[in-house]
Amino acid sequence: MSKPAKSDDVYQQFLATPEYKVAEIIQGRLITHPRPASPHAKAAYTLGGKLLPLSDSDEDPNGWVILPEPELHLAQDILVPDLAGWRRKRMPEMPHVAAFELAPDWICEVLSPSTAATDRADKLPIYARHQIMHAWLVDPLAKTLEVFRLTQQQWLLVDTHRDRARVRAEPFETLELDLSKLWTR
Amino acid sequence: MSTPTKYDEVYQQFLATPEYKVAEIIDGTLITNSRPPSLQALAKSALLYELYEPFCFSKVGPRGWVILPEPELHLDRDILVPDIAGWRRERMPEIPDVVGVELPPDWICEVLSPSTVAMDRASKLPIYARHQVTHAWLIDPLAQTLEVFRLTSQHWLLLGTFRDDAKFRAEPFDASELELAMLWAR
Repeated sequence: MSKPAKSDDVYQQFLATPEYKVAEIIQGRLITHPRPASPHAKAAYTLGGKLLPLSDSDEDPNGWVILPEPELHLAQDILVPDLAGWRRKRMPEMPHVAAFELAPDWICEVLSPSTAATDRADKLPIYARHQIMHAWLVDPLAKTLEVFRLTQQQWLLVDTHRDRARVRAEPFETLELDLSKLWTR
Repeated sequence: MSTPTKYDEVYQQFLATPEYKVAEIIDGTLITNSRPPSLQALAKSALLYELYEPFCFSKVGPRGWVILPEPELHLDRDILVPDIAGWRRERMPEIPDVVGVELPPDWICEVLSPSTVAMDRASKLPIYARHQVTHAWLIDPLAQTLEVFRLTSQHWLLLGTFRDDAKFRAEPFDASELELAMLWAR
């Protein structure tokens, strides 16, 4: 059974998007937005850094592969979360690719005023359809972290943390995260 | 009688808050906010308008719900003022003549603004969960989204998120199709 082809027109436009924009294909439509502003970039980069110890060893069976802005090809959609992670059990070795078809175990979206609606209303349901087990939403302006766990195809809000909270949040319970570091200027 | 407790002090401060501010006691702390700005007020009044005839009152008589704007909820030691709250008539056959309602609602709606969103999501939602409020709606007039939650084993289950000009049905008011566009029709 061959894979259904992505709509060629939309995919060509996707490929033609200039580097300074972020492009995705969501529900068959090309969505682009400018590269994020500094609070967003800082939160994403800092969080990625805090998770590094989990991905340092390629021999730890409980470890993770964690990447910034990976291009995920999920059926007909192309989504680029701010961060995504795959458990080593599912991805023993990171492939050398431009895009991933294996859905991650965890994604993180850092929200900005121009992307929050798309992240919450359009991307979260797609992530759920592809069985991504955990989703984090980080809002650097509100200084909140929302932790969702997939439960029978729906997102269960496990916890919401804010400001200077020190959290151990699934699926990274082994790591204590000082949330304040995500929003220090 | 006994010396005033910390709660008494907080409650006195709560009572002393000027009228032009919205006061709450959240996790034992007095929190005051300015009254909601215009886009938040628009979303709240538009949603009240959409829910009123199908769910509260028609010309024929009362329907299944009591829905009130900004009711003062006295939930144990917290005093929360959601933007809108609703009680099923089975639980509230008659609206009491009170300042503070102690019966937790069946549904709350918070209209988010940049200054209140963190408190709404991180502090108030968990309190509503503890008091078994069955459904919660979060409306963000700037993002133009509505998030619909149902309480499931003490946690909020996200049933769906609607945006922009969507026509939708959402628990607990899924008997009627509603229009999101009206909430931001400036």
